[in-house]
Order: sequence, then C-alpha cells, then structure tokens
Amino acid sequence: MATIEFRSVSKSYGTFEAVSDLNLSCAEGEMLALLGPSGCGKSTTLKMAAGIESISDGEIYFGDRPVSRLSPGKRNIAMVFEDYGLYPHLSIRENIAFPLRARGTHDAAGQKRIGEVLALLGLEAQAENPVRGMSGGAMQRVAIGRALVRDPNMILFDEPLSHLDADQKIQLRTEIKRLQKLRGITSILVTHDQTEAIAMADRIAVMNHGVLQQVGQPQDLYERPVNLFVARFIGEPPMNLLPVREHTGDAVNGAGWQVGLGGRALPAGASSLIMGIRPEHISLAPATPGVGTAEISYREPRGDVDVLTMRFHAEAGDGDILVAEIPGPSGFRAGDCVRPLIPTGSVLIFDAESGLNLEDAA
Amino acid sequence: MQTSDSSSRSTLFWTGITVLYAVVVLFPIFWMGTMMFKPNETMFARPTEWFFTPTLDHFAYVIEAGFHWNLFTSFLLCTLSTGLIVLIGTPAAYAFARFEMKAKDDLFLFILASRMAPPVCLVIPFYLIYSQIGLLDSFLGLTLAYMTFNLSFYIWVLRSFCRDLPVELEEAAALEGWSRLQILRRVVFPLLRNGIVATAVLCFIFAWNEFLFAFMLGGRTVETLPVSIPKLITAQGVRWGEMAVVGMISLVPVLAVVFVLQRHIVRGLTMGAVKG
Repeated sequence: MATIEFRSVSKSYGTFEAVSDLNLSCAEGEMLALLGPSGCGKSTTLKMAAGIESISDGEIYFGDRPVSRLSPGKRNIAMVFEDYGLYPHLSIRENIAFPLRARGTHDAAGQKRIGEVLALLGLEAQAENPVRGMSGGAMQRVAIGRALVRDPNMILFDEPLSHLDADQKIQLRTEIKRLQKLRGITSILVTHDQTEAIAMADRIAVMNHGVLQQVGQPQDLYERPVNLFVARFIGEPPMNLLPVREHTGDAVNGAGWQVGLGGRALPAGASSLIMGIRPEHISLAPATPGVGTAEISYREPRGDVDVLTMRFHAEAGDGDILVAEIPGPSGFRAGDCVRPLIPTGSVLIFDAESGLNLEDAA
Repeated sequence: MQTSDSSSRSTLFWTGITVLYAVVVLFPIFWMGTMMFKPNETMFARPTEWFFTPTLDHFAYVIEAGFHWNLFTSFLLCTLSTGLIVLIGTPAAYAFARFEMKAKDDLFLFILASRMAPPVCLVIPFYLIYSQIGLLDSFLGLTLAYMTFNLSFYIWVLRSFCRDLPVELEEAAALEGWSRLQILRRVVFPLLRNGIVATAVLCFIFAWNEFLFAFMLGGRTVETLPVSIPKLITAQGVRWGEMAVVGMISLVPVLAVVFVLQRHIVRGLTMGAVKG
C-alpha cells in the first residue's frame, strides 16, 4: 500500500532551485537511498515527502493518491533525524509513546505496541531512563522505536548515522536494515556516505545540484555510471579519470599511457574524451621500456589491499597520475617502476564536455 | 601527592580572591544596611560607631511620606511592560529565528537600532509626542516607553535561544499531526522556558532601575522608586537614613527575583553563551 513517487517535482527558494524536475519512485518495502554531496537537494526531497517542505511544482503520490496538499500529520510518515529529535526530558518509553499520545491512541493496544517495540530494540531494561545523557547510537535506536511504534506508511531516514562513532555506525546500520526488512517498511534514506548507501539500500539515487543523476542498484552505479559525477562519487578510492589526448580507431592514449578499446566504436563527433578505470581493476606487471611505465610515488597499505599512487612518464614529470588498488600486502614500494595493466573491458569513456558516459549514449 | 597538595593550595588561593572580591562588592550594601538603622546623630560620627542603638525612625518617615506607593508604581510598571514584552516578543523572536521573510535582516537591525540609540536622544521626542497626545504621567505612556527599548533586547536575546532549539523536535511533532499552534504551545514554549525567564528577568531589572524615562515622562501619578529617591534631598538637608531605606527597598526585589529564579537564569544565560 505504500509506494512513493515523485512526478516532475521541483522546489525553488526564490531564484535558487534546490530540486529540479525530479522523477523518482520507491517500491513497497524497498529502501531507497538518496545519495549526494551536501546541498544536492536530497534532504529537501525527503522533507517534501514528509510535508515539512512544500513543493513548488509537480506532485508526490503515495500509491495513487496525490499528497502534496496533505499536512505532514495526515501522511502517516515517520522520520528519523540526524540529531535524533528526541525530547531530552522524557524517558525512553515516553519518547517512544509520543506518537501514540499525540494521536490519542495511547490505550491498551498502544501500550502493547510500545512493549513490542522496546523488545524489538532490546531497550526493555532501560525503558524508564531519561534519554538525556545517552550515547548517540542509543538515542537513534529510541528514535527508530518512535518511528516504528505506529505502523507508518513509510519511514524517512535523514542522515541517521552521521553523528555516530564508527563502531556504532556499523552496528546501527545493520540494525536499521534488519528492522526495515523485518517490517517490510518502505523507506527512504538520505546520506552523503556511499558506504552507508551501498550497505543499506536496495537502490540508490545519486543527486547533484538538485538534479537526479542516476538511479539503480549499487552494482549498476558502480559498473555503469551514467556520467563523470556518478563515476567520481561512487567507489573508494575514486575512479581514475584521465584526459584522452588522442584516439585512433580502437585505442585511446594520454600522457604516458595507451588503452585498447576492444572494438568499441566511439561517436565520430566526440572531440575531448576522458578515460575512466577503477583502481581495483588495474593490475601491475614488471616495467618494460616504452609507453606505459609508471613510477610509484606513494603506497598506502590498507591491510588486505595496497593503494598505490603512480605517475606515468615520471622522469619528465608531465605524465598522468594513476591510482591502483592491488591485493596486499604487496612488495611494491615508492620509487618502484611498474607497468599498469588496464583491462579493456573495464574501461569507461566519457565525453569531457557533457560528462556523459559514451557507452550509454551509443 | 604533591600535585593534589598544590592544587588544593591553588583552590584556597582562588577562593580567597573570590571572598575578597565579594567583600569589596558587598561592603557598600552592608554600609547601607547599617545606615537604615543609625540615628542621625551618629550617621557620620568619626571614628565610625560600629555599635549603636538602632532606630526605626527612618522607616516611619518613609512610610509616612508614602514611598510604598512608589514601590507599588515601580512594581506595576515593570510587571506590565515585561509581561507585554514576553507576550509580543516571544512570537516575534521565534518568527525571526524560524521563518523566511522579506528584508528580514533589515527588519531585525531596525528593531535593534531602537536599543542602540542613547536613551537621551529618544526621551525628548517621547516627551514632545506624549505631551501632545496626553500620555505624560500615565501608566500606559511609561509602559509603552519601556517596551520600546526592552522589547528589542528581548527579541534579540530570545532569537538566539530559538535558533538553538533543534528544528527536528518541531518537525517530529508536525509528523504526528500537531498544528503549528499546538507545536508552539507544547514543544517550543516549554523548551524555551529557561530562556524566556532569564531574558524577562533582565528586562524587568532594566525597567526597575530605569531613571531617565521615568523622570521625564512620569510625574505625580506615576513616580517610580528611583525617581522618588532624590526627594529625600530636602531644603533641611539630605535624609541619609531614609535614603538608605528606600535604596534597600529598591534593591531587595531585584535580589529576590534573581535569587528565586537563579536556576533558570544561569541555565538560560549559559545556554545562550555556549551555543549562541
């Protein structure tokens, strides 16, 4: 019963367009992540769904019902906030009971539901403690309890993990995922952290400057980014994006490197191109004289992998910089000369001006 | 061992300094306290007579001269103006903190400007206007005058309290179907309570101690305590004992208010200081 769809939704503040012409939907029981840098319009989108922000144009549908004129209270939505939004002077139980109290459904059935939610979150023992002074992770669990208590149509998560310590972050994101799947609640998650989005969401919508860039499963975004922005934003370490100096029929080359295209056709008109390759797709071979030799300038050991930064044409100092991620610990050290092997099948070609992935366009 | 010893010694040192400062600050008040009961003959005796037979003559004169009416006037005026300020200023401060509006910064500066101008500049136009419309020597007139400079202060301070309230609390309540008014009444105002009390007390004290406006715009009907004190400088001489009594009376309510509401004020002011 709870799907949400944005149809041509826009939001502007004066002349500034925070969200423009957004078309996006979230299926029932799905968790959709809105991912993007700060100021990209993802939080505004979420607040429009909640009804806290009005929309300037377009319409939002819950199922087939337009809701943009409904007040937040009539939309039956729960929200989990970055700053928890709990009432500090109330106890855990009272905070969770708040939605029922506010709606006047704080009866015997309501009490039972509160008990269930407390049990679900493992908070029964501390139920009467005040939330003041609790850790961020514990507060956010209470906030999730408050969201679950009245069976909302959907839950909107607004950067729920960004104020938490690393270990709490990982713990809570598993917990959120578990509860969301258990209850089958349609959810939208706003985050600027791709790891979070990939770990938690079924699909990810990447936004930038108020414009939706790409929607898809995490793997799609990773393998087939539609443009340079998505290519840069998804993946860590980020994708190598090297300017192409010239392209012949089936190879492109730049400052110190050359990559075969394996018979892929590039649009004839494309003048300036960018070659993209993920660091983890690169492997290294011993250096041989000639084109394609690079000198390692920095090695970052990360335990299971080594991240190596290297420069083509090191002696001339004008070559491109390439980052490779190889299984670690490796024997490579700064100063070593190597030949990076770039597999043709993993190479992406972008148009430098429009930023578009040319494979998509073709 | 050594560190704890030296740290307790430094605690002792700072406590000593604080006590010394308190004595310096409080001594004049103590002196005023003794003057209230000193007979006129020993008032300025040299060397100072620390032990004397206390007298209540000064109190008798003060009541006879009707100074309790001045106390009542001051109290009424300050309560009225502060109450109105809270009533008008709280929603205004909230609106400035939360809502987008046209020329918001200009409007805010405009409100602040009424506080920046030296009171002497304002009091003459006030006098001329009031004399035209018959507001001189009236409660309404002085209440309005006090509001002009205290309201801006109140809005200014309370706005920073409003800004520090996490907006999520209001949004969470909106999602539960509460109207804007319900949210204000049940979420915003309770959380603002410390800020409102602290700021209102400051407004009350400003109004209580105010002299210039009360002197220029008041009169026989509306004569506040600070204005009444100079009446004790008479042709027969200065009535020091009576002055001490009236001075103490005007001091006590302020101290009492601050003492009773100390918890709110300290919490309110530190909240503003830390986050504002």
